[in-house]
Amino acid sequence: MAGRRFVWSDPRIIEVAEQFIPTTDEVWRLQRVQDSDAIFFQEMANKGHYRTAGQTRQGIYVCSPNGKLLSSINSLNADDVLKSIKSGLEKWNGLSVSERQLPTDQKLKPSHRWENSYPDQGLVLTSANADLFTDPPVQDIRGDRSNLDHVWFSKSEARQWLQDDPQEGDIYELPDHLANRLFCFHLVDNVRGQTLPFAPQEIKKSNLQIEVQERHQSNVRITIRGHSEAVAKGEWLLGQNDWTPTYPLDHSMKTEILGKATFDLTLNRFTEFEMLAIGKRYGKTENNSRRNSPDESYIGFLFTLAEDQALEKIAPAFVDVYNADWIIKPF
Amino acid sequence: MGVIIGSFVLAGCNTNKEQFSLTSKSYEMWRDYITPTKNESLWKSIPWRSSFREGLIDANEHKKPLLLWAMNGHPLGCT
Repeated sequence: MAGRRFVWSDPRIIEVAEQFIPTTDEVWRLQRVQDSDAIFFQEMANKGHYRTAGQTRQGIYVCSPNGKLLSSINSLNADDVLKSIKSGLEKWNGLSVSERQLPTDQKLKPSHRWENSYPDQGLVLTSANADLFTDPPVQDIRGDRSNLDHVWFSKSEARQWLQDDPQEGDIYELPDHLANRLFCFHLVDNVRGQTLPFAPQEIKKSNLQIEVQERHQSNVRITIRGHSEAVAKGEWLLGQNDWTPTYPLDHSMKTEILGKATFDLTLNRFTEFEMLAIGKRYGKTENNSRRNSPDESYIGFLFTLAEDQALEKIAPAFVDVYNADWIIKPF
Repeated sequence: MGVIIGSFVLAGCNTNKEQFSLTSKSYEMWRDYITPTKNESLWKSIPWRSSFREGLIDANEHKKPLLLWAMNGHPLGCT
């Protein structure tokens, strides 16, 4: 994603961020819902760079804990962002003590966040993806965008990656609902920006096979191998939701998948997991910034165990349409 | 990320060399390329809070201004 690269990797901005509490959040909820934290955000951001009602509030804001907006901008130009941040800092230095404080009666509790469904004892993966330009790849030839996402499986779903009594040499298919989670929601063309999920009916070919390589004490070592072909053509098949496109755009993804992992039967969780997919994408979606890309090209996906830290507990992009009944929906 | 020790041999992989194919032989090459580089991960060196609420509470406690980056799609996830 461009902001990470062009703005937040700039050493000047990393340095100036030390004078703040650096914070991120998903703006779609903040700008729409009537929770107390969201209203607090709206009152602040409505005075910022985008003021038109109904317009996005994406951007970079400097504000006081009491909700006073000090500066704001939405830009991929590090010089402009730095100037805006410094201007906000100057205004902060001129604030009175009371203007710097969060009002004691201010409630900030959201009624719902997808992160509340984080599967603490489950399998949580971080996916990193990148455009592939040459074979073999050349490290110096990298795209100006890359992206990441998180993949969630509950504790019970994580265990379903193995059979009840796994034995060396066992070969079996990963249950469809788990494989489809990857094919529909994670093997998608989101390298340059958010894209659309595939409906289960759009998975035209798929196979995800597990082979038990070794069982040693409580550790079961497996390999993962598979492929998929997803084709979205014409009508949108996932109903009315936040992702419903305003017009159809044909797109597809064909992948090959290889991976390896270790599950500890005593701990009842994966202790190692690494899975790679090479995808051939075709077409584009409304927001995935493929306007200037060729009709088809290659993407690489790398799935690894997420670390147990707040940064890696962000919900998957398509959590609201995930095929998982344990995800808590908004009231 | 855990380091996986042990051999990684997959029987039946296609031995014909096709462009952008994924085999046990090409696995490491592609993984090393797809793994974000140090420069691509610099933004993670910032000690981000992951919600506006958490940021406000910490800003108040530490007596610092809040620097908020808000996007469609969480900036720490898929955006």
